[in-house]
Amino acid sequence: MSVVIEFDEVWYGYEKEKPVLNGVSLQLKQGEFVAIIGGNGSGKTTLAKHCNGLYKPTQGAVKVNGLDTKTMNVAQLSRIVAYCYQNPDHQIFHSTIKAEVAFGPKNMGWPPEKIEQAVAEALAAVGLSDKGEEEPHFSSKGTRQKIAVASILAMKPQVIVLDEPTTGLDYRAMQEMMELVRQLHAEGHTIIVITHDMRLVAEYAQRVIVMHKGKLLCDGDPQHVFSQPQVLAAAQVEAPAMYRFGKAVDVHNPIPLTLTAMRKQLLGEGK
Amino acid sequence: MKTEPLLRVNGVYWHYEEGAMPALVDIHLALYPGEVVGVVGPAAAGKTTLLLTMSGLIPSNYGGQFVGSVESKSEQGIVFQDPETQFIGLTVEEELAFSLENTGWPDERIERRMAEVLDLIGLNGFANRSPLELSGGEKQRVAIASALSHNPQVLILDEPTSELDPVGAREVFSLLSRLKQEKEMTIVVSSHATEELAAFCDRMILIVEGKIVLDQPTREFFAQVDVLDEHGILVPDVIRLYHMLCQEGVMPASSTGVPLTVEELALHYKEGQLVREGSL
Repeated sequence: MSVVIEFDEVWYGYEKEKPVLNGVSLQLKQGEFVAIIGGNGSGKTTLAKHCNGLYKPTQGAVKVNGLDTKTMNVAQLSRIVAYCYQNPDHQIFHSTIKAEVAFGPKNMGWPPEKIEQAVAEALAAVGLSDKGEEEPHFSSKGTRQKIAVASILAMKPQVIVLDEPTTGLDYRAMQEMMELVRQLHAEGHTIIVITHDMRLVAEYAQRVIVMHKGKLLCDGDPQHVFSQPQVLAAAQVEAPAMYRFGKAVDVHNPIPLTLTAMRKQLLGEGK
Repeated sequence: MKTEPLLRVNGVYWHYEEGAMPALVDIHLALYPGEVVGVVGPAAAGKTTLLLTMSGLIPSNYGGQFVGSVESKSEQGIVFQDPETQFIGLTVEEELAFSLENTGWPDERIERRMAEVLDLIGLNGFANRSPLELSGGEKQRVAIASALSHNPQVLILDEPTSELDPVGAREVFSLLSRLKQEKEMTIVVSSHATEELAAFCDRMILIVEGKIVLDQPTREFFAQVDVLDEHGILVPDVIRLYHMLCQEGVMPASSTGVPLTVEELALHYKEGQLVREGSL
């Protein structure tokens, strides 16, 4: 897999003696589904905001498709890496859903017919094709979250960063949102999700990056991360319920992380 | 529980002035001393409206059509989803003193009560801090302290952890557990966090489109997986696994009801293993 985003010894801070990112080096590859976890103030959102130039390193370099983010502006980078905010209301400001979704492509100077097609495709992808003329601010939180995703999809980014995409959603809206993200991943988008929800990490992520005090504490698959109690304690999270159950009843090789995997293992299926 | 209820909601119907549909329809329920009740439901099902009605804020503070009655023998304190929306004071002390001063308590009694409440929520030494500088969990604990300052018998919390990270959410549920155990507080809490509610509540209510669909002790409530699925309520993985394994004959149904935590399910599973191996 080719490298899309590369962090090379990245330092970032408002005050010299208190860096928010403290020498982070890592590579994110095309087509990965990555979860970034960590406690409050660990640097996870700051790390993610370096991916599309919302923040630029104080020292070190971030490269997107081989180009240093310091040589590009956010508008240029947003065509490659799109950032979806935790609170959709921070990015929704138009009076119709269609106008909201068309905003990015318009700013990129696309011709009207290309914009129209991009908007139609993005609305279809999130299941809002028939809602284009509605007022976004009066929709449910789940729908507003989908509008935010459609707005970035319309720009056809290679990489999508989602900051806590399920916070405040009920279970059905959460499932719909994550199925949409799974579909975008299947279509080839690289996905980066910042989350506190370990059930979501277990179900969807292929790779987990754990941030702690501005440093990369652990980087591996979910099984690797959940097997390290000290790492989980530093990230202020608990392993998902199925993993804790597996440990308590001695189910091993490996300990299943999800309900489906646990059921299979206990019933001896797939052996 | 055989005692008299602290609060009774009798056939309440409520339609917000601006609402297209009624928000509550034919609600009957009674709340008994020392009960901890969880309220779940899809988005816009009427959870907040039900809690506002139980707290007495509906109909008195809202416009709309109200039918039925709410009988209360208790004082209620209410805590909202976003604690910042209810902060008024510049310091934690001012925040806690505000409503007590407005009800004419003498200064020394206010001082005494503030110290008691700060001790209760585990924030001794925070009196002079700005509530806005605190972590999410601490802010919500201050909001709970404000609601407790009048010493209400019933504490009502509307999605108190939905905007918090896992650490903040654990802080809040651990404080609620202490209020339940040490103060035998009567608590009503709405949330989407069913894993936490299952471990914490004695009784659960499912509300859908303004109507109560289920109102049962927690173990019986989580036995109704089909109903919860139908209305899009997250059944905690532990509970769903238990039902799957019982159906597949991997383990027998528990004589004490549905296991609600990882520890309870692990214990039941291990007992089942011993039975299968002939040790019991």
